[in-house]
Amino acid sequence: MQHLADQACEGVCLNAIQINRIALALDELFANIHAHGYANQGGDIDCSAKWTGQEGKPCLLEIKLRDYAPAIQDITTCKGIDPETLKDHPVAGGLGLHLIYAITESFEHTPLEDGNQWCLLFNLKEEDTKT
Amino acid sequence: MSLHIETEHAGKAASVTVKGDVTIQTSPELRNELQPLFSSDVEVVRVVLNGVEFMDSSGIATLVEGLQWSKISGGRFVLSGLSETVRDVFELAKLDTIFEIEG
Repeated sequence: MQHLADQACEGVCLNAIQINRIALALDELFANIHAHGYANQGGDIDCSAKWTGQEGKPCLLEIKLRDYAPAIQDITTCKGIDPETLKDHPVAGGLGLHLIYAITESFEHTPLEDGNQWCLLFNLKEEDTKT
Repeated sequence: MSLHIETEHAGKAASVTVKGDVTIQTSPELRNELQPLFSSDVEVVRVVLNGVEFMDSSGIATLVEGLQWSKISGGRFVLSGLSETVRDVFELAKLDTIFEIEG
């Protein structure tokens, strides 16, 4: 995931925290697809990334993943745990999707006939980049 | 990336030094190292993380388990030496306030 994040960010000069966040969001989504979509049996995942922005200054990074696992019809049923509840009742697990939502500007899922498409949009503010 | 874990005992305190990435692949190693400490006479478990640059949700979940075990055993569970990136993940997960974090 770190390698994928490094490739997506090549030449853009992000700081360590932003690169780590991108790698973490991808890591969590890949782990979820592997564990829940492919039931830990492995399968193909297509990945693409593009920068969008204004006046030549990239600020939005869109990463799309496409798997060939059984389509999920309603992702809202698997939003993960609310960390607020952990303060009084710490439990392990369920944090992956929460982290993805926390990191991304938007996180969208589209069920397909033969799989799922996932779109992660990262809003990288100017103060988060280095020159 | 493999995980290197070293545990040192001093009186009733144990210091667990972790180096490497704590991920879904490696976090079971950390769990296996931590769990026995809470069924011993150790009163303070300190996890030293300054050799960790990347931690995913399974790594955090392992540390949440450690916190649970410490509450049950009545001991302290302390995290120290968090790198900038690991501390950021704790803040994103809103878990930075439930742990005792040093340094």
